Amino acid sequence: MTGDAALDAATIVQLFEAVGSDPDFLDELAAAYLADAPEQLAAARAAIAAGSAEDLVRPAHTLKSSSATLGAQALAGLARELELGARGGSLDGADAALTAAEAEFARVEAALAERRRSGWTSSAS
Amino acid sequence: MTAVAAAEVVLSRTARVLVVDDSRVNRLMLARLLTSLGHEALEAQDGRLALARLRDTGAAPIDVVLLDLVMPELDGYQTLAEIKADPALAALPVIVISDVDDLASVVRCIEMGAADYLSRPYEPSILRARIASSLGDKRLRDLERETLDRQAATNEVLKVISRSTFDLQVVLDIVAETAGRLCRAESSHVYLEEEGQLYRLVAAASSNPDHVAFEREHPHRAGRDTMTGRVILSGQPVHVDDLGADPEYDWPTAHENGIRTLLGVPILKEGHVIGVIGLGRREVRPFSAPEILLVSTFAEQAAIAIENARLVETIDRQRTELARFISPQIAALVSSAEGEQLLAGHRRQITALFADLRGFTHFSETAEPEELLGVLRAYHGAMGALVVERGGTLEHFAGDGMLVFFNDPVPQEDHAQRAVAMAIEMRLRFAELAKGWHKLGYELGLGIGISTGYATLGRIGFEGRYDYAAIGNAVILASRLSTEAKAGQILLGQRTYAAVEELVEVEGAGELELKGFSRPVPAYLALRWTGDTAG
Repeated sequence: MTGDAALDAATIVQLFEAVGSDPDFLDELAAAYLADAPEQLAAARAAIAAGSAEDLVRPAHTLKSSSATLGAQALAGLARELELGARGGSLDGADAALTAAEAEFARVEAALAERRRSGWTSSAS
Repeated sequence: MTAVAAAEVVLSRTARVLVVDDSRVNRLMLARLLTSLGHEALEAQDGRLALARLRDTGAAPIDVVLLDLVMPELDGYQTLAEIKADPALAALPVIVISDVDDLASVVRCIEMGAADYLSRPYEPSILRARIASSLGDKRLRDLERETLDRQAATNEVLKVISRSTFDLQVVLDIVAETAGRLCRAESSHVYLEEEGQLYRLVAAASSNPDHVAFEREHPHRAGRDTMTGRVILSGQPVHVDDLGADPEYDWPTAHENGIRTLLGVPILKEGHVIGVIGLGRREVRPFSAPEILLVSTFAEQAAIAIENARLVETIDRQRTELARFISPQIAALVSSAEGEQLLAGHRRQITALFADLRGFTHFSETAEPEELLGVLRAYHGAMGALVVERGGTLEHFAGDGMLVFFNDPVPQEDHAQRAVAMAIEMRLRFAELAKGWHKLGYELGLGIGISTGYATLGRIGFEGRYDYAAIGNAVILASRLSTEAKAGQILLGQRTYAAVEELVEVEGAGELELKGFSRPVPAYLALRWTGDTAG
């Protein structure tokens, strides 16, 4: 079921190695992500509600890049879809994509919690 | 040091990197990667804050900026545009962070002046390479500017050096002072080789006078125990990164002075170490390639200055020695700049004085050789002193005869007066000598002829034996007049008489028939000096 995993195992391994196998740092990184991502989701929701494609670009971009950093590929993909649409000035399908992103974020949150418990070394998700 | 080595020094340094990204996750991650690569990371969450930090002149300067493009307040494009528009920041390398699918924005940023780009997700090795390369560019630009600054300072020093070629100490003092200042070294010493292969301190710019005094009293010799000793051994620049980690080093002043990092550069002459420039720092901070180059330049200048000073010393000594054999004016002429031209031959108005002894032929036939030489020595000694006093050029002594001329090679406006005044003194001086000789039974008298006129002067003779000689009617006339003069008489030619008639009491001597002169020549007897200037 790795294809459906909320977090890409290979990215996590690379990340872990890149920071000198320091689980504390990844804890800190995950905490920052879990604190900031909901803000970006909320900002995106507000932009769609206001009908402003322009205001959607930044939160979508930030969510995309930080999600990609942590290996949350599915969420990064949804955020990218939102960003590209918004850059094109369109909100078509934005609402559905954001709803999917919100649901995916819940899975990422759970997966990150699991990783933290396992000290980032387990390959399970 | 080669350019490659200099670039390596540049690239091995760490950077202060400003990470500009509105995502905390991304900032944390980049900062962490940068720190693990040995760099220092600072963070800004948007372009406005980033610019504020970059323009804060009180804060440590940033070496590289990592810039995200999509941010609130001031986005990456606007931030990049502002950096490039600010003359104080335009040279700062900016690496833009892009997503793999956003190459169009990368192209736009490069066109705007971004140094490079970094795509997410970051590969640590790529990040390292990008930072190193941007940093290298910046450091090389900084280096270029620093080099230009140093070049300007060096030129100033070289100017001073070239003005003080003849004063070696001035040059050495400047080298010590400037090398220390430009390389920010707390101690700066110059050592020169002396007899016995010892190298003694000759100039210093150092904070501690006790240590300078110690160095002056304790010369260095080749050996591993001092930096100077190592330079003498190797003939190459020697660098000691940290004296604390160098057990072989054993010289008291450096340790007492708290010196940690040392640089020694040889002053070379034909590959031989004739001196050493030594710089010391109180912190462990290696001397950079441009600093080593700078000190080497100074060492070359010092070598030239030392060589020049020695040359000047040699010429001075030769001139002094030469002056014991030939007229001092001619000795000076030989070693002067215009000497060659004057020696080659020139025409000038001179006053020639010819003197010889009456009764000398008879005396020389009857006297013992020792007596003869004794008389000649006394005569030459007394007359020679007067010639020197009056600034005459003694062309030669020949037995009892001597030829002196004035106004060459040193110009003397009053050449005729000098000659006549000297002749009157010679007569007085000779009279004193003659009294002594009279008691011994030698009847000797002095006859002098003086003539003013044009002569050709220059070097005559052959390779191996040259004389500086005057040839012309003035010389011949002086010689003939001297032959005509009776004991104690001074005979002047027409032109000499005209030049001194206000100053000297004379008496006409009629027109003389002289050998080699087709017509009778008017002559005058100089009786006594009546002018103001001493006769």
